[in-house]
Amino acid sequence: MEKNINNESSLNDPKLGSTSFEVPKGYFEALPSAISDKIAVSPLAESISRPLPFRAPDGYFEQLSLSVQRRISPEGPVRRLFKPVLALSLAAVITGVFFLFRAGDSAHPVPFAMEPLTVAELEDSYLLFDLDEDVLSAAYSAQIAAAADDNEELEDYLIDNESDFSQINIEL
Amino acid sequence: MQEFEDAELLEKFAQEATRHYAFNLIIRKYQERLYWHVRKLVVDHDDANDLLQDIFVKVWKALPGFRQDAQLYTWMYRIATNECLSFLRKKNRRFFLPFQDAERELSQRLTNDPLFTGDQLQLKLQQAILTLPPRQRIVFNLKYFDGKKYEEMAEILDMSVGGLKATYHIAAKKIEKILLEA
Repeated sequence: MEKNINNESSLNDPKLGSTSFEVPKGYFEALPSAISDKIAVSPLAESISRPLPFRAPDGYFEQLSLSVQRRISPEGPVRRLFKPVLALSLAAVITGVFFLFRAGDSAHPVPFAMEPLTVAELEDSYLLFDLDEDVLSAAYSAQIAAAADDNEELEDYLIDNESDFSQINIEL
Repeated sequence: MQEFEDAELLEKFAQEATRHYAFNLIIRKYQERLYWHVRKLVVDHDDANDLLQDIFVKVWKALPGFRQDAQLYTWMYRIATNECLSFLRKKNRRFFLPFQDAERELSQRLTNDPLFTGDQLQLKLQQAILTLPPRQRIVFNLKYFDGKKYEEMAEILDMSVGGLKATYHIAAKKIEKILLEA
């Protein structure tokens, strides 16, 4: 009888199973996640095959390393901001303007401190059609960054939280 | 091509004479995985290419200070993810577009993208993913397509496991709703 009672109590021992069966390592740690994933993904999404439906252009990965190496080489990236002819024309205009100022007001020389062009100035200028895209892009970015600087954290928060961004832009 | 262990690559990178060679090997070892991570998030190949190059330039600059607290790949993954988040935010800000408009434009581009190889259902899924805010999109992609564990995602995204589960749950529910309505 006493032996039977001992057997019964040993049946209730949760460790009993571990002597006969084993589960993969980390199984119970991963189980809640696996179950919640099954619940979270809808049956419809689950039925869509998971390989990404994109491809990269042929030969892309063969040349990527070269493109990056070019950018990090000690000489730095070779970027042509201006076409040579345009650059020469622009240099001539700047030189001309410089001498014009000096000739017109030689008694009171104008301090030669060029302020960056504003976007409005760029847009009003015929130079708009001749300037390199990078110059315009930099001017736009600078203006937008200056305007948005104080609100950047707020905007990040709003974007991350899917707020109605259009309303915020109006206030900016 | 022989694939070196990260420790060997970092050792070669630490030596001036073999630095460029080692970095070339690092790019070749991880470029595809990082490309697909970025491509999933920004969808457009040209954007992904620009970003990936920027990411590797950042890695090049930061690698001398890499303390090896995390694995090299996890560290690069984190840089890539932050770059993508920053790109997506800037993109919306640059064009002064509401978030939904920027994504609608990308969604339309996807329809005519010759590099998109999926069927109608996969197109709908991608378009639904594009409606998610950037962080939800990242969490959904990492979990759904890459099958990443929450613990690993927590390390990459610097979020708590609980927060990630909630984010994934919300994202999956939104996608389910869109797919059912479509």
